[in-house]
Amino acid sequence: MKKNKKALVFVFALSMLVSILSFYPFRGAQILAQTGEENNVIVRTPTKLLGPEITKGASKIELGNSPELSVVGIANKYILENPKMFPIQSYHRLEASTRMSPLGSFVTYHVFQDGYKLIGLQIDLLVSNSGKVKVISNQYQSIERVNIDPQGWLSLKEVLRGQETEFKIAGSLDDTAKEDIAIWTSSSSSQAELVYVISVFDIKKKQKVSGQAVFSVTDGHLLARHFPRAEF
Amino acid sequence: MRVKASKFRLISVYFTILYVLSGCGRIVTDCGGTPLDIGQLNQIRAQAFSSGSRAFLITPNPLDASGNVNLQAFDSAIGSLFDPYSLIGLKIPTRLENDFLKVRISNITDSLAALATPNSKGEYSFPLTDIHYGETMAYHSLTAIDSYVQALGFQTDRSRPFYAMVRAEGSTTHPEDVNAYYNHNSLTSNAPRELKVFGDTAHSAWQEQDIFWHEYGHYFLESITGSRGVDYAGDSGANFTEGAAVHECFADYGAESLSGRGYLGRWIAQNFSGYSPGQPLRVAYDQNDEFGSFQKVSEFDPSGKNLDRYRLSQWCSRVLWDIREQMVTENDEQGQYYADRTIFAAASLLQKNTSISDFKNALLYADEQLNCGIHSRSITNAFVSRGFKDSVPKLAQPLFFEGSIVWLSSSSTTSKSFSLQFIIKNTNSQIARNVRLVLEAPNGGFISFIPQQSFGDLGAGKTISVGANSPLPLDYSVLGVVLLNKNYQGTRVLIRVQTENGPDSVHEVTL
Repeated sequence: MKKNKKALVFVFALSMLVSILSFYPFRGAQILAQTGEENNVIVRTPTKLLGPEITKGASKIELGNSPELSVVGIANKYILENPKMFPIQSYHRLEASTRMSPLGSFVTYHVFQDGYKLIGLQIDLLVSNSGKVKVISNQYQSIERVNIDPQGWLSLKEVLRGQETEFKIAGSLDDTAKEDIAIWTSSSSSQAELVYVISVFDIKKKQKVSGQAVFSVTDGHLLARHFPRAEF
Repeated sequence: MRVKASKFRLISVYFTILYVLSGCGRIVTDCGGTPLDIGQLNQIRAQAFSSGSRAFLITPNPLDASGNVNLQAFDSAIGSLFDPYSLIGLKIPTRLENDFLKVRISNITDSLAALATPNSKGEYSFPLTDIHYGETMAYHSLTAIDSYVQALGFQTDRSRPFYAMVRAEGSTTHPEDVNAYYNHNSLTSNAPRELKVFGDTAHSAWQEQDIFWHEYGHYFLESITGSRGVDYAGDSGANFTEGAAVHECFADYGAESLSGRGYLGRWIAQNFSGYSPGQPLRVAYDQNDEFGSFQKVSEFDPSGKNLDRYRLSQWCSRVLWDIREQMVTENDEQGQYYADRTIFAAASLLQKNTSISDFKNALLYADEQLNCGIHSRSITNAFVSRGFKDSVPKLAQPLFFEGSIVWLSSSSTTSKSFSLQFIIKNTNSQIARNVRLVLEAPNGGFISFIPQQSFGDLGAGKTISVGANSPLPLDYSVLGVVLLNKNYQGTRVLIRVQTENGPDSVHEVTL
């Protein structure tokens, strides 16, 4: 009888321990999340171009005091501390934007050279609610500096001459605000070049489905066309 | 003996109580995510907004609202189906727009005088056949779903305006072509987001809420993935990709889950052949059809039958619905919200040119982060039970490839295009998962214009044949372009055949 009692006490103690341990991860995650919030880890406001300039060789990043900068600061630090993964060239500038999600805050970096966006070199990091960084996507490549010399550029009108059988520009050619110059990179080629990116209609289609066309600014050739796959 | 048995029973009860209290019996938890405001979510889901201008609409569409599968837009019975709804967030009460969303009829440049305005009571009240009804439906539907995802904790990209054109240019000349498109314009830095609804029939797309919710799903996915190119290859012209199927699956799921009906497009489906009266366009729950089996929608068929994003997307939406059903079973009041949050969070992790495998892994990660991983078995089971194996054996040999360059005729005096006719053969005794053909220009010299095509799963001993005398024309191949003012002779062309469960098969030819 005594033996049975001892066994019961032992089973009771063991089960209490198991129940506490099994509950711990859940509580722990909650506590971590709360700590993160207290430290302003969560970004409150989405803002474009929040990030400070990151350049190769930069030794220190000011994380900033405002809560808006803290997530970007953590992400910046991560990029600087992992140069093998992110061999950012001195002529490249990274600009960050953030968006909140239940998983934490996503920080998306777009890469610029001399003020022109490099299409296709995006970096996406996730800063969790506990401040941990996860690399979601790294499309950065250390491509060579692209020569920016407006002397040899064709005008958008010149570029579109000869494309009339394929495309119609969406909007007005005189509307220069819609003229978008960027640097085109391709995962299937190591070369990069300056391009016009414009909204167009495919005139071969019955319906006026708009898409985007990418033309070289130097010789006007069509590099890519993106049309929505998202038909119902 | 009786005493021992009763002690045993006591201990069993004790352990059961402990099991439940300790959290092992927890059904839906909130580990790392912010707490959900269930009251607010219920209100949004019921579209019961308490403030804003009033509108009269038939949601989700006249057919579902009446239960009469033969109903048409001009029937007199329509009049009794209208219900009042609130239009939230209007910037000014006389125009259907806010700081982000702008509703138009034909074009972004529509005259504002041509757009819907409220009546003398301040109400947006129009007959179902009036295009202003479509504008009102667009505004209400898009703001409702947008409020919903925000309430779940997802911040969307509002850096550019979102224009919804409900009878987009071209609809009047081709009213029978009923369709809808979403264009995120992600390559440009300033072009607006565009949703275009086409067609004008007795079952127009602008009369159905599902259409706006589905198209919003495309915007939402692009938004939460930072436009990193979930279906970059498809955007660039690929006929079929798993990324395209995931995009459609996600858009369908959002609409199906928010409505809670598990199907969509019952109204619009009446425009298309092959649909009986009342049959939805797509269904997320089990039907007596092929879309429940991964093999039936993913395995390459020489006819090209499975190179159709909507077949795979419907399978995918059934997997997501299974996961949702599991969470709703656990908690019938709140489970749908936890399911949506988990599935949307998973989507935010998807890679460039994503795949079904990527989506599955993202779901497991999101569940781990948000729900302590308590649904990992349900998620895995949802995939496995529908034929998507947990692990596929590695291929012993790379896929066999044989192909040649085909120059395409063109009237252009500045450039020339080429494609590839080819066969890809799986000489292994295992299936090859998610087979893709990629065209690369390692040293430049040509533009890889359509850089990738996908072919689904390739069975053991099976062959993909494109071009030449194959039933699949060169439209299913990659496309390169050379410039005639540059010497392209001798340019290296790299052809990569990829599969998820085997090594790349790499081949080189010269132009």
